[in-house]
Amino acid sequence: MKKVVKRTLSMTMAATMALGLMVGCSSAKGEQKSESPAPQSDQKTEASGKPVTIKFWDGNWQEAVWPEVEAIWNKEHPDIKIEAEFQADLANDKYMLALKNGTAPDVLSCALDWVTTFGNAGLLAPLDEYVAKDSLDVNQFVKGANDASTVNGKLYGLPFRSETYVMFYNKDILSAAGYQTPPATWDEVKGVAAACTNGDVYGYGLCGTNYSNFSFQYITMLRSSGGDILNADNTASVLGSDVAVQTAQLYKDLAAYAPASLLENDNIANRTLFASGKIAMYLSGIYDLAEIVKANPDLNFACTMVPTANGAERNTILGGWSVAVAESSKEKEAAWEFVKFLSRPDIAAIYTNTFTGTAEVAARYTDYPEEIIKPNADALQYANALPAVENIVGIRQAIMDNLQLMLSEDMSAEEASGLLDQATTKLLK
Amino acid sequence: MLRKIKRSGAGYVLPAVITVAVVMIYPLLYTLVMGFFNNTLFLEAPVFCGISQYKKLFEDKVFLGSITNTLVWTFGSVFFQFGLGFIMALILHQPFVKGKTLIRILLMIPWVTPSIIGSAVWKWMYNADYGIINFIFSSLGIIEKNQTWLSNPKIAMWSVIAVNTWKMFPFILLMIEASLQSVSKDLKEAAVIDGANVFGIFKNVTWPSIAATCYSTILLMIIWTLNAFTFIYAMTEGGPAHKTEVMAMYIYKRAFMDYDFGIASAASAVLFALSMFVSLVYLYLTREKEGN
Repeated sequence: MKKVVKRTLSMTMAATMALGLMVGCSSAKGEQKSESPAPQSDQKTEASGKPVTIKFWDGNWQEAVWPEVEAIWNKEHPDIKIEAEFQADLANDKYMLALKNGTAPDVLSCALDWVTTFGNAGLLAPLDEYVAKDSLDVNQFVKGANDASTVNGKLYGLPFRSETYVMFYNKDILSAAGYQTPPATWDEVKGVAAACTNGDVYGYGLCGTNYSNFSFQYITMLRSSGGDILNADNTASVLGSDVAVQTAQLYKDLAAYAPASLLENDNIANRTLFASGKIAMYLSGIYDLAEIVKANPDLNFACTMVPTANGAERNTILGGWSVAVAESSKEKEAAWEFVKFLSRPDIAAIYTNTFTGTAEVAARYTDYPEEIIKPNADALQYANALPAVENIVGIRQAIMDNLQLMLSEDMSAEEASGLLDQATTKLLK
Repeated sequence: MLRKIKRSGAGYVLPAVITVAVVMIYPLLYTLVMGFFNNTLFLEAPVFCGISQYKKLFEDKVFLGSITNTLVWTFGSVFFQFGLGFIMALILHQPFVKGKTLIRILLMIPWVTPSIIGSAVWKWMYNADYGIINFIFSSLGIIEKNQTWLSNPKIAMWSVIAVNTWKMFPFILLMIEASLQSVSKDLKEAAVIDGANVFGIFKNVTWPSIAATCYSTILLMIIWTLNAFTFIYAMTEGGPAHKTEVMAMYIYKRAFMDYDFGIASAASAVLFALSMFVSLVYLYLTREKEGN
C-alpha cells in the first residue's frame, strides 16, 4: 500500500513538472511572439483612433525633469502615450542586446557614438523619409551631431543634447599658486599644475579608468594639439603620428600632478575631488556643474576653453545625445512624433542638462554666472563629432588599454602610441 | 518499456533533463559552434572561418595574459577562501566558543551582501588618496606611504582576491562546520584514550570524516571562481593595463566593446575547456586520495 502511494505521488510530481515545463515553454514562445519584434503587446493602431503606447528608454539622470516634459507631451499628443523607463545601468551593451533580440523600446536616447554604431549595424530606423515628409530643417541642429548620426548617407537620430569639454579650474588654488588667469596652452597647464600641487592638493585631474572618460580626455588633448585619431576619410589610424606621441607624453607628464589614485579615477571621481578642493583643474562638460555646486556651493571656480598646443586651431569633441527609433519598432510613426518633440529646441531646453541639439543652454542654467556658462556655450563652435566608423567604441577602449599600459608600466609614449596605432588599424579592418 | 523506464527512475528525472538541455546544453553547443564563425554586430550573417579565430586568440598577448590572470585569480581566491573558512570553522566548532549563533550571523554578512555593493565599498576603502585602508595601515606604521592597491600592476590582482576571499569564506565556513557536526564523538574519545594528541585526532578521526565535503567544496569554488568577474569588473575593469583582466572579462570586452561575437565565442570555448580540464585533474587527484 505504502509503495503504491509513493509511486503515485512520484508519478504525479513528475507529471506536474512535465506539464509545468510545457506550459512554461509555450508561454515563453507566446511572449516571444508578441515581444519580438516590439515589446508593445498592448498597443492598438493609430488608424483606429485609439491611443498608441510607445516605450522610451533614457538614463536615470533625466528622470527628474521627465514629469514636466511628459505633461507638455500629453497636452500636445493625447493620442500617443509614452511609457518612459529611466535606467541606472544604461549602456551600449544593454541597448545592443535589446536591439538584437527585438526587445528594445520604440525610442532610445543614445549617446552620439552609439547612434553611429547601431546605425551601422542596421538596428535603428532611418529617419530621412520622416524628415522629408514633415519638412524638418535638420540644419538647425549642431552640424557635428548630424554628422555623427548619419551613416552611409542616412540619418538615424535627432540630437536633443550637445556639449563639449571645457577646463574647470579652482580660482582659489590657482591664485594661491600665483596665477590670476587660467592657462591657455598645454605647456602652461603643466607649469600651473606643478605650482598648484602641494600636500594633498593636486594640480590636474586626469582620468585613468572608464574607457569613455579616458578616451574623451585624450582625444580632446590630441585634437586641440592639431591631431586626430583617424585620417580625413576615416580609413586609417593616425594614432602613431608625432602629435599623437606628443599628446601621450603630455598625458604622462600631467600624471605627475594628478592624485596617486589616478588609474582608479574616472570623471565622477575627478568631479568629486574638484568639488572637494583637492584638484586645481580638470576637463569636463557643463553636465558636472549642478553636481559641483550641490556638493560645494562655496567653491570658487570658473570655466575656460580647452588649452591648445602647437599653435593649433581649437578643436574638441562634440558630445551629446540623440533620440533614435529602433528598427524593430512597430509604431515608427508615433515614435517619430516623439523624436521630433524631444529634439524641439523649447522641449530640449527643459530636458537637457547641457545644451540643446541646437546649441541653446539648458533652462536649468539660466541663473548661473556668465563666467561659467559662456565658455561652455562658446566652446561648442569648436566641437566636432567623433568619426562615424562602426568600431568607434572599440577604438576608444583601445586608447584606454594602451595608455593605461603607458601609465602603469612606465612605458614610453612612443611605444604606447605605436601599440595603440596597431590596435586601431586592426579594428578598422 | 514503460515499466523499464519507471523502474530505472529515468522517467522521473526527464523533465529536469529536458530543462537542463534547453537552458544549458543548447547554448553551450551553440557557443562552441560559433567559435568557428566570423560573427560581428555588423555582419548580416555569420561566416564560417574554421579555426582562424582560435589562431587569432592564441596570438593575442592580452588573451594569453588573461589565461594566466584567470589561474592566479582562481587558485589564489580558492586557497585563501578555503584556508580562512576552514580555520574559522575549526575555531567555531570548539566547545569553549560562546555565542556561536551570533558569530555565525556576523560572519555571514559578506556572503549575503550583494557583490556590486561590496565592490563599491571596497573600492573606496582601497582608494589610494583617501581610502581608510591606507589611513589605518599608515597609522599603525605598516606602510610608509599610501599604496595604490587597485592601480599598482603588482598588487591589484591580490587586492581583488582579498575582496573575493572576504565574500566567499562564509560559504566555506558553513559547509565545513556542518561537516564537522557529523564527526563521531565516540571515535574522538576512543582516540584520546588511545593517547592521540590534537593533531593525531584531527588526522585520523576528523579529517577522514570531512574530507569528502572539503573536496566537493573546493571543486565548487574553483568552478565558480573561474567564471566570476563581478569584483574585477566593478573595481578595476580589468586594469591597470589588463593586469586583472581574467578570461571572463576578456570575453565580455570582445562581445560588448568590439561587438565581435565570434571571437568571444571562441574565447568562451577555451574557458570551458580550461574549466573541464581543471575539474577533471582535480577529481582525478582527489579520487586517488580517497582510494588510498
